[in-house]
Amino acid sequence: MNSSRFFIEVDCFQQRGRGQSVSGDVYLQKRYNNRIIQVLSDGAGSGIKANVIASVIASMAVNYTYAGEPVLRAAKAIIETFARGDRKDDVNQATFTIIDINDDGQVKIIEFENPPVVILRNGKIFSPPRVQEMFDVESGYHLPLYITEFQAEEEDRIITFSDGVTLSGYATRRMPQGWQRKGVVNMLCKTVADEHRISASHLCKRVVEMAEMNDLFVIKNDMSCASVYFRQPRRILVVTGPPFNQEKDRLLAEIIMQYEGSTVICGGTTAQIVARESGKEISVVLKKDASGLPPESKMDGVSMITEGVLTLGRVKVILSSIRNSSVKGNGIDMRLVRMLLEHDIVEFIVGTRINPIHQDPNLPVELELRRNVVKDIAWLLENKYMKEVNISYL
Amino acid sequence: MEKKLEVRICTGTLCYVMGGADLQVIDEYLPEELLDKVDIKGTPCLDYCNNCDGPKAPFVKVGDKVISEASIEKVVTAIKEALGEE
Repeated sequence: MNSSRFFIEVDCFQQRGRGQSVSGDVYLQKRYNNRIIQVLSDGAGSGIKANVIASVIASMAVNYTYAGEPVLRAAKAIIETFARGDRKDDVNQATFTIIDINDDGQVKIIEFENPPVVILRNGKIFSPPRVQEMFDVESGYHLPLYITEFQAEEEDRIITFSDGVTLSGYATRRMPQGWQRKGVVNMLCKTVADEHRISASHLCKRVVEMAEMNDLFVIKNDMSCASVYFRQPRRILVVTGPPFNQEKDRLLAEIIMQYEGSTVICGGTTAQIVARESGKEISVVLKKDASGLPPESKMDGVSMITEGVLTLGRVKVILSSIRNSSVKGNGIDMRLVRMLLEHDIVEFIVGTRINPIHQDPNLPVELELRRNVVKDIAWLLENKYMKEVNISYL
Repeated sequence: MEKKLEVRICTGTLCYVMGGADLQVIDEYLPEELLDKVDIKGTPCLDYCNNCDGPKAPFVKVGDKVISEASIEKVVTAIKEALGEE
């Protein structure tokens, strides 16, 4: 999938206005073959109506873009779905920003009535040519649509946000005019200068958290921030299960010790095999883990060692139930989930030797087959979290 | 310095599920005078479980003795015995 020279990390963080049951900001991201499409739409007003408008608009934006529909025609169809009446306020029922990226780094950004996106190159503002197209609505109003195209390079970042972010802090004593786009830009530049490698995920979260603080923690207006980061991929190798054939034990140990990236072993028996073959010692950290799972172990050269099937089962549950990449908690399951989500490429090696005792029907808990749990986790990582995943069996 | 009695609690999946989880806090059940004399550690799977007809999990090793279907009571007794014999 990602045959290009860099990895494209994409994420969004959102907070609802105080008292709202749903957000009027809708964010969608889709990865299709060689392409990533990101859409942020802000529905007029707040609450359910705004959410419905924004949902439809975001969905149309993604699908039209994917289908290769000419931009102006797509914009017309999208906006006129909801535009009614003669007053300008009625016309502009929603905003949208579409970011269309292909794996080679060709970027196209289409903006309609959202705060303009921020593009950073090597930590500094980058302003590729931005073309304005006037868009005519039925009732005779003209609204500007902006189109930007450029070729991304490694370490480029694109940050999009709704006006809940730029208007945060409005009418407070600290910033009576609100944070404004320039305030956001300053914060972004400073953050990236201090932490060159901050992930897209953490960056957009920080923006929203700052905006929330600006509003003195009583959020006035739904806020969203989406971020794209073109970077060197971070790889992680997860090994679980003894190799089917003992002759492969040594190979497994070599693969782990020589891996360029983080390494995790899920399974005590597997860890022992690796320790034995590489001449290292394992020590179990014997204390009650916050998760209730068996404790972790430590070995030189391996980032994390956990128990096998129980932990992986828990990881699967967590990955399917959390809503964004933000995971709190100290349990080993949470820490493993966090570690997985912090990497871009997740490689699994599943040893297929089955432990028959695990299938004893008298056991108090059901132990799933390792390879099935891993397949489920891989599916989630790939489809829900946009990671590049591969599984091999040994 | 006297060599401490090695107590190894298996933290493999099966042992854990069959009650090994509760054994982790065994030090809380040892009388104080014995605490200095034991070295309690967790160990990765000891592989004693892989025998359908054999002794059952959870397993704990007290010195060289293997205790099957270990409970806190059984392990504390085994520790006392091992230390009493010396």
